[in-house]
Amino acid sequence: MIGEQLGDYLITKSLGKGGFGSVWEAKSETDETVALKILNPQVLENEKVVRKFFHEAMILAKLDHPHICKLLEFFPDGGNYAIVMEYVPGIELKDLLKQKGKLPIPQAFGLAKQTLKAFQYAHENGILHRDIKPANIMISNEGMTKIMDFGIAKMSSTASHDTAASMLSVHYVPPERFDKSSEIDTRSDIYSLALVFYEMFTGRRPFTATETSQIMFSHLNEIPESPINLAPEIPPQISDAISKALEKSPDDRFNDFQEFSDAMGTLDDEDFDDETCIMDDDLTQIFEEAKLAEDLPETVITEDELEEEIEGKKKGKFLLIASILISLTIAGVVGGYFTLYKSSSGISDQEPTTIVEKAQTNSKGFEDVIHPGDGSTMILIPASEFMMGSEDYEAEKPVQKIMLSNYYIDKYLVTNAQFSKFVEQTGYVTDAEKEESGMVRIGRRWKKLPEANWKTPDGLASIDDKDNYPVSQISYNDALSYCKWARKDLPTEAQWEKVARGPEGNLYPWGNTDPNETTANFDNVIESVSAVDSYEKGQSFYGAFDMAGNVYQWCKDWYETGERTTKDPTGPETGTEHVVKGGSFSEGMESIRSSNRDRYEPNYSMFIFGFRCACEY
Amino acid sequence: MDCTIASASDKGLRKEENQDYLSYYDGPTHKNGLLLVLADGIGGRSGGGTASKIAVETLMEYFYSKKNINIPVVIKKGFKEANRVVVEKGDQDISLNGMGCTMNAVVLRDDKMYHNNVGDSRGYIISGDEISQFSTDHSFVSDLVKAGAITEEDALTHPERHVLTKAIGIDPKLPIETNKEYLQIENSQYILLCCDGLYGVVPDEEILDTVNTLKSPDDICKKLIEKANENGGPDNISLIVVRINNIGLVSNLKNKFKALMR
Repeated sequence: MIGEQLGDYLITKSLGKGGFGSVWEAKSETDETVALKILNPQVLENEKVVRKFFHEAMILAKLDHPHICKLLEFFPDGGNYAIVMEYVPGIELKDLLKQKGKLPIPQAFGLAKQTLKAFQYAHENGILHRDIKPANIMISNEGMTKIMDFGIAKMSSTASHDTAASMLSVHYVPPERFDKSSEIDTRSDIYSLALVFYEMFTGRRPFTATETSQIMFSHLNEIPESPINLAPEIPPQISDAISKALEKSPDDRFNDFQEFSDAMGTLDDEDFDDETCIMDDDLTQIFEEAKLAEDLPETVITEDELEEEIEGKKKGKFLLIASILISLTIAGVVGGYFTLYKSSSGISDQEPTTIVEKAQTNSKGFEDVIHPGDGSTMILIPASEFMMGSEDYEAEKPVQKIMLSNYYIDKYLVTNAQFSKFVEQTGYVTDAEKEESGMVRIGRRWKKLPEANWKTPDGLASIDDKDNYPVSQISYNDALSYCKWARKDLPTEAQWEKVARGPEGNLYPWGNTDPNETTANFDNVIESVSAVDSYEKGQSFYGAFDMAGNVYQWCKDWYETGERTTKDPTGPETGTEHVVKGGSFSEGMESIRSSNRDRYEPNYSMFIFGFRCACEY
Repeated sequence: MDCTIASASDKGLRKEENQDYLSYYDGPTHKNGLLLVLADGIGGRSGGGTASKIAVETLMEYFYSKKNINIPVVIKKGFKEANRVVVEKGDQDISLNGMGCTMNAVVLRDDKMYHNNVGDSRGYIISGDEISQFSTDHSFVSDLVKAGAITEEDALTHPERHVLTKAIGIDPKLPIETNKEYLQIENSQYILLCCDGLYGVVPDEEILDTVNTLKSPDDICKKLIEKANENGGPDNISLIVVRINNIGLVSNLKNKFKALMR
């Protein structure tokens, strides 16, 4: 396509692809840059529809508004139809939201007011949009919104037999479009725009379902949470206006965009002028960062997969960082961009992040992803029940069916290399270093050795050249501090045990057969820790390594015995000791059973203690 | 496993060309299993036919180029590859721009059947007097039904009943799930892959009746094409019919044992 001439335009670059066709950057004969949308052939199959659109295009071409992307021309060329539009260099609101989560209130308000004006103008001219979504709102480099694709959705809405693959984004579609309870009119566009606003102000969509049919159900039946409940800083009048615009019945919404705009009120911010300018330094920086992320090299993570993951989940400032770091890690380019990661250079008290990227299917058929915080591989553990506990020992009773939601867990134990990086960046001092001693075993006796810490776990041998070995001589406090730095968390005991045992509740990670020297580092066979990827045959049902033997692993829970909560148990509120699981290289086969549990105080550091991290889905 | 396979494809009475395409493995027993694929092209121009042919052939080639495979994962990756190739060809040639297709694939290995699909072409399993659909329709109306917005009856006449929510070749980032579920197959069962040119025109009961009356996959194919055309033949009609003759002694015993244990 590139280099081809279409009408008077020379196609110079691909700008994207959508449900209705492909979009190209092109040059006119007078060297003006334009955006050229070539409609998919199946959209054009129904000539009546095309004629109707042609008529509408004439009206669209007359629209002249600073916040509407101007339609310049609409012409047939051979078997194709092309729409020529004003070219707007900038970023789609969709990408901005994907990377930034919610926007600062003055900026969100400014964008909202501009779009409201544009839609009011279009509706006064008798034009409905029908497909309002963040992907159709462009923000120019100057911070001006430009609404794109007015009226094009009409082609699809009247599509006839054989028309396929409507790319209707159901996230922003009003209920009346599904059950035909009323005609599509201005109030339908108001509903869609309110959903866009909802996302700008709260950082998430109101309906978190991922299945198309569930999203439709939500539009039809579910009352969305008030935006103010998700983001208390939102002025109440804005939250109320968005809620009103999201009423199920069009009669209960605003009658036009002016009413919607009036209800949003004004913002009491002296630096802000919604009439002319929404850009300030903060927003300029947001755009610059967002565009920087846009320009990064292609990775194995597709935008679509990213979107799948983001849907309905927490999005924060971290998203931009996550996508940048992952892109760079995969592209093998790291230097230069870590300045953007400055908020994580210390141990933060922020909530653990959600993972936003998918990567590879692992050898067990589950999804492996790279966590942006520490570059570790994590496995997505799908929500399901599993059998926890055993009847073998009092501490492990009872056997219970436990339901866990989705979560991620490290595929490997945290390594010396990863822990070193954490210490380097934060200056963290471990409990053993503070105490100037750690527990080690000498022969059959346990002893506190003054030289024992994570750098010399047994008090003798240093970890030099052992980058890929599990960090050990680690207390619960140390493990948790690492997790916070990496924006992760420790797994709960249930999360840990599910990963080890699989949904059926196996005895060991690899199944129910006894361990041997190919499945686990145990029983002092090699008498020391081993590299974290050594025991491929010992992988668990989900593909996690070292869930039995090598080093004990800290869990988040305080220790207690007896019945557990049956859904996502997190242990008791308080306690004195935390659970450790998995046994170690020095334990026998009973101790490396996945239901085995032991417990130690949070500051207790031992040379057979290590950990792996978990992360919410 | 011993089975008999037949297929047929007809342009129907109202379309100018046949844009469906189908294929299945037809060689000596292969470790990867027996792959059957059917695709229904999208759109009224030549692109649809090209898309379905490219998609089916890409999946076949991809599937048999891999060794020691995890079937659900390789099917999924094969779908992704087919999508990538169709999108790429569509981008290269303006006359093929926007071409697409549905695709429905089944793999039979030992006594198990794995499947995946994109779009609204269907897979059915017929066992005695029962016919059940194992594929998922990726269509606007099927989602509306699931959401409770319309009834199944409404869906049959809904003006947007042909609008798909997923298709090969349209979106370069098409999400495809790994379908880890498999079905246990048994002797004398039939597996039917078909496009909406058949199931949208010939009711399920009539399909079931035809299978049980004629028994021979070849005869079933011919008869069902005939019936679709008798009912107006509004679209291309394509189908693959597999009859499971013998899943093998070991598998059969295993299944019987499982049945006893239930």
